Amino acid sequence: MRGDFHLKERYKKTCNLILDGWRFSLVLDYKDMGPRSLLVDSLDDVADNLLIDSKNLKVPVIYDPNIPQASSIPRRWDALFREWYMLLDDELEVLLFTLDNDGYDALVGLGPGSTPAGDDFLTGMHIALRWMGHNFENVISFRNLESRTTWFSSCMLYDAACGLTWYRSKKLLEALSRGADGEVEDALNELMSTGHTSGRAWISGFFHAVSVCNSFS
Amino acid sequence: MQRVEVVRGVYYDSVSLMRVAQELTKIDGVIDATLNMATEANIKIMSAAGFDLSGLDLRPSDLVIAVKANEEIIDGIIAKAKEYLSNPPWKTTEISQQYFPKSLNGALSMLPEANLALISIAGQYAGDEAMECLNKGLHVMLYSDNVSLEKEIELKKIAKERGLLVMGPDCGTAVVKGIGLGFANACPLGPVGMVAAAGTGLQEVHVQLAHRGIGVLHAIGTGGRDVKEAVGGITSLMGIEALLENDDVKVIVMVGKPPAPEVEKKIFQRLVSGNKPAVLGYIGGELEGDRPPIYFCKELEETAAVTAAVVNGTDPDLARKDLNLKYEHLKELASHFGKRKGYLRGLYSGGTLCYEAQLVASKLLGPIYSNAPLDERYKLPDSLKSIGNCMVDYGEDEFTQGRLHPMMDSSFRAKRMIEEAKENEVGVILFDCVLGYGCHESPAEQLASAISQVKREVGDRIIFVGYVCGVEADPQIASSQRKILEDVGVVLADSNAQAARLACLLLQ
Amino acid sequence: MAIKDLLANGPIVVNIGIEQFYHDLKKQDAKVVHVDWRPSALKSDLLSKLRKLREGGAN
Repeated sequence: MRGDFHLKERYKKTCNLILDGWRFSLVLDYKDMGPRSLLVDSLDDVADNLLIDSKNLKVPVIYDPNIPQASSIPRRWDALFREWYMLLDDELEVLLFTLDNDGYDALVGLGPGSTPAGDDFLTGMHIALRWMGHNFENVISFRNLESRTTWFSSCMLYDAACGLTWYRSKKLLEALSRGADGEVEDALNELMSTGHTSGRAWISGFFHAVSVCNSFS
Repeated sequence: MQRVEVVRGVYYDSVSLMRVAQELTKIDGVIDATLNMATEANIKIMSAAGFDLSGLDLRPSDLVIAVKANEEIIDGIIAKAKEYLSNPPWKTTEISQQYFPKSLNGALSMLPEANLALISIAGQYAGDEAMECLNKGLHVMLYSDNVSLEKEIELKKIAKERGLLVMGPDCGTAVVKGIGLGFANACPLGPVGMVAAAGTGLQEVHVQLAHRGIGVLHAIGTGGRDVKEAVGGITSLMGIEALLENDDVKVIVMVGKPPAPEVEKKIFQRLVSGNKPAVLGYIGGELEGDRPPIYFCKELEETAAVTAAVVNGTDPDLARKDLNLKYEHLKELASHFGKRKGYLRGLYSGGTLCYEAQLVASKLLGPIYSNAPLDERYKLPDSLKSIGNCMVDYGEDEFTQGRLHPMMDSSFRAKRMIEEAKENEVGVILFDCVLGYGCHESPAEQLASAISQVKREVGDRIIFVGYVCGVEADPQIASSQRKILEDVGVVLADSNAQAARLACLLLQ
Repeated sequence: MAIKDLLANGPIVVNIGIEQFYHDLKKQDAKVVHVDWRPSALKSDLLSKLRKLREGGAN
């Protein structure tokens, strides 16, 4: 990997870089891995116009962001999936209200922050649809997406539509497929720890998509 | 000045409301802050605290934010309250970032092997939720109060048919295989099995047994109404049955107010035929004369002392004598501290502890006024205003609707201490400080700050007598809680019965 | 599950209500799941919105 990365955002454990409009990330914690991210020891030297030479990387690849295909989803989680709308209470009720009145497309960019909760919901939804092998092309319009929401969010939605996801969500997919005790709970807790409402909105969107698909199958 | 703001149609759990109020009162210039759902009981309490709620159209589903503060900051404080509600400052901890399912079915998909539901939601919803749990084959511990008697009977009858336990309603404490549910102390495991129709009664016997080196394996709570005629002791009898069957339980202890005669008879007969040693601690009961292997006790510490003797194979009567000697010794202790003039005021978080203290005190001082009196003639017309010698149970409905149980938050009781001390005729303030799982992380600190304020204001006119119901292994650590109270001059007793006696002796 | 089995296996708990009880059970290494319970009035409010959503076939 080589090129002129511009430093876009710097957080405590993550730096987001931009190249040709795409997000790339350097992360300290493997749990923050996602599409186009690298695990690094330190973010201290990260500066604008960064050059990364893959030859100098100790661990070139440790995370595969491809969404696996669900063979079958154990029915034991149905009751959990059906709770999707209950997750949209308090400050997230605006999502339900908007969904009700204006449909999925209106969720794009809805809510404060760098990943508006509406985008988190839609991302969770697209990942679920991908995972279950369903068609999703008409759920939202991807035209001019970057003008309708934040840069980070639009990348996240494109990634989901392309079948790529983040470490924490992949853990949930695997746990749900395996149906092992405690694993699903752990995975959901991990997701909840991403931002104040992000995790909750993501889970809600994911559950929503699965329960809608389940009700047709 | 004060400001009252009403937020309509929202639901916040009482813990959140309490924490917001606590955060607000920490701010400089705030005199008092309270957030409550606008139930009748809360409105009364808030009015008594000096908030003017007249002319407001309030419904129980409304949230009232009431603040007393300096004029220049008061608008900011109301805004702060709303900000905390929508975005609590403590939500950044790992705790609240967990994923919690929203429904019973969702929870069961995550933990399909669950065998018991612990329900502590508002009473008006709790009965139906309990029924749903029974339908899923779960045993139920119903912490919630304000569940109707009809609902309780319905639940218990259905549960019995299915071989399921319904502990409660109004069951604050239970122990199953050493695991404490609700309010419970971290006591050792051992050969004792308990059935208790009294939450803090269970805790006190549990703790007093631990002090005597005796452990408890199971303690089944029943809720206070179980032993009344209408319910017929359904849960008590099922509990006794289970403990009789259980080979690891060597001695059975029953704790509670005296059951209705019919229920008492059934329990006694079952225990006689069960052929296991049993100690019946009917607090304030009439029964006298042990019938080994069945023993009768009238107080909580006595119940523990006799049980310990039965477990150890020593003479229960000797245990009683030892205890009486200790009680005699309290007289010397009282004269050591110097007698006070005036009334006794008891402020309790534990219902059974309050009840037992009234029994003890009424024998020594005469009638005791209370919001939960021994004799209805001495019922306080207003729980917020003491009369004569008086004991207030802060666990009663009028104090717990829409707010935290006093064992989870003593701040309300602490404020009352300051109020009581303003009366010149008050000589002794008696209180409990209950520890264990479920309880406040440091009740002693909450009470101690009020006590030291009183000491500053009235000096030595009032003496505080307290009892810390807890053990070293409790999350709060009993010895540290005792030290906090001792450091502000509280005289601590070794049991609830002793604290009540000492308080009376200080006035006689 | 019979009472006998409850006593033999120990409690495996669904905690509905006060969150503190959930954390205290965790501290004791008990198996427990917490339900973030809301009154059904609030749920049915959400449900009616959901129903409208389904009927309208939001897309």
